Amino acid sequence: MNDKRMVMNDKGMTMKSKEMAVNDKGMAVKNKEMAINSKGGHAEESESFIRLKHVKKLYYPGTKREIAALKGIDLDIEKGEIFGVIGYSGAGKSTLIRLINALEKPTDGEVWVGGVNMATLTGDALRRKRMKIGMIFQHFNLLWSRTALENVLFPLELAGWPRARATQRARELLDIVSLSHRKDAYPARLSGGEKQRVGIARALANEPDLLLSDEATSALDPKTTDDILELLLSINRTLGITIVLITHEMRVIEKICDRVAVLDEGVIKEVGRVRDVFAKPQSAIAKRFVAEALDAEDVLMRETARGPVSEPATDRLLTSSGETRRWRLIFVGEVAERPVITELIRQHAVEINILRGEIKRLKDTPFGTLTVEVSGRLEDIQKARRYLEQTGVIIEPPGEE
Amino acid sequence: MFPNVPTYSDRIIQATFETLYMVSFSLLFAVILGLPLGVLLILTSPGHLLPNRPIHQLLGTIVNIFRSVPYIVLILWMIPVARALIGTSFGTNAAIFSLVAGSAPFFARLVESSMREVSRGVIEAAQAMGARTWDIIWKVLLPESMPGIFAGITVTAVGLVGYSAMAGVVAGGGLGAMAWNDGYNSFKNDILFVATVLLIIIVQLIQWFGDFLVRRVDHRS
Ligand SMILES: Nc1ncnc2c1ncn2[C@@H]1O[C@H](COP(=O)(O)OP(=O)(O)OP(=O)(O)O)[C@@H](O)[C@H]1O
Ligand SMILES: [Mg+2]
Repeated sequence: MNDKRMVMNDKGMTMKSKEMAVNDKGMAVKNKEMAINSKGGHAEESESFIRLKHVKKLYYPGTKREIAALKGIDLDIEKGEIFGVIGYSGAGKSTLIRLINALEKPTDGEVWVGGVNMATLTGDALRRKRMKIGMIFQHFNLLWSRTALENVLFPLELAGWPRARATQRARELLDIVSLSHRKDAYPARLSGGEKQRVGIARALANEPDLLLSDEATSALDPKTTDDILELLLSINRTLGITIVLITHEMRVIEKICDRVAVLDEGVIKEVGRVRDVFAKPQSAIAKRFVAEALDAEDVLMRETARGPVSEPATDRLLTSSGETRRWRLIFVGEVAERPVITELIRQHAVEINILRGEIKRLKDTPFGTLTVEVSGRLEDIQKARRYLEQTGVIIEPPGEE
Repeated sequence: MFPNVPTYSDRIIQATFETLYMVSFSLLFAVILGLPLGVLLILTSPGHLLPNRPIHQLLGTIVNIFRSVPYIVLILWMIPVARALIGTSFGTNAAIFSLVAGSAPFFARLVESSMREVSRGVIEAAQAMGARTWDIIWKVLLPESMPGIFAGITVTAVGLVGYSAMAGVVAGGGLGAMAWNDGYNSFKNDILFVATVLLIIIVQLIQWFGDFLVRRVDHRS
């Protein structure tokens, strides 16, 4: 028995929801010359904010070094959500996100953003649309010849803001990302986290309704990653900006995403609410990502528990008191915070041996897993299973005893 | 020690000014021609903002021809050009022709290579923010490669001091001509020596000022 794992980490449960001081006035700055008409292409019935229809992307099409980076992607992303795309290196994540602001053109299929088919946009219409789509990058991509403030001024200059108003706005933006005190520093003198804050301020400059993040935290340490993710979350909440982010780290998905798509070799293998994918991953690759995020051994065991061949010996062990089962219990949502196990022991004639357990938070949803051995008479084990399932606990392996 | 220097003092001052005149005007024209040429070379290169193989190769070939022709031959080539454009192949103004022909392509290559250092990601970030190609040239490529460009201007200027001495011998004018005519050919070693020292001082000053400027615009560390 592994007691160490039983130290339930409730740090994640009391996550501080420090709200940013956002200057509403600053964010509402808008004048008529600046008003941007995003209806550059023809609108359609499309309800989703972002819609990818049968998108294929080939690099070097028709040559021998042709690469199929995306092989038919269908995806809907709703306004206001934080949507994550996870995949291993080379899966096609960057290609996918770059289609959304037309840095790449699809070889086949359509990309719609805010009711506009991106392929119909050219010249000024495309530039205006891009100004409404912020983007942040793994390597920040700041201009090192400009100070933090001047970097934030850059997109405002591109949009033609008058200097004085632009400077005012850039200051407010640095304030939003808590970097006012570093406004005159050049990027070379900023830490990675500070650089990404400048990147975020810059991306928000022209009041985008969409923020794209290409591995924005992959070059940062875990603590800084958490800070940046919290900043993104509060931007999403206070400004209502839709965020599409790509990552290869499940911790990014679990911390801030509402929904996730798992991309592998140019194909979306699975898409769904983060809590559902965590609780019941369907595809092999999603299982691997969830396993990495939880406890590798745990999910490994879950695999074997399911397989008919390698049923662990202890599983069907006959003991003096009856039988023993090994279950993996998954708690999603409010049930994870209730003393379910205590109740179980009080009300049922079974013995519970806890092997390992973990609790984390998927954005706002508490999520826990517990691996236990249940011993008792078959009848009582069955009752225990029914009780747990009634309270909303997911039991693996599923089925009857 | 320097028996001829007092009598030649006016000549020395004049020659110094001629050298400075040739170097500064050649440098000005080399930058005016070389900078856009360098920008075109980088923009038209494969995978850049305006990839265009024919134009890229044409410009590259012209630059390479001018860079591989020995400077003394370039001087001879530019004699008819100077004659056609300013009516004479003699004097400091005529010398500027070959100096520009020799240094502008060189400077263009330096511009190209310092702009190649600007990362793909930064350019893409600008595109994602809605920048036009023009914005990217002015607000990204140029400012981000400024230390390299200033270093390139310095190297070009130092080279021009040397070339101007050679051009001066042929076209007449500057410290090089003075060293050759009034020094070496007239057996006045002190004049030769003074000319040399002045050339060294000019080069040192250019280098010092150039390094200072590079340090001023370099915020990479
Ligand atoms: N500009 C390009 N030209 C040619 N091939 C490309 C280009 N960009 C991406 N590819 C190829 O397309 C495939 C998908 O690449 P992509 O960059 O989208 O993957 P990724 O999931 O972002 O990977 P990583 O996590 O390493 O960034 C890879 O095989 C890659 O080599
Ligand atoms: Mg990538």
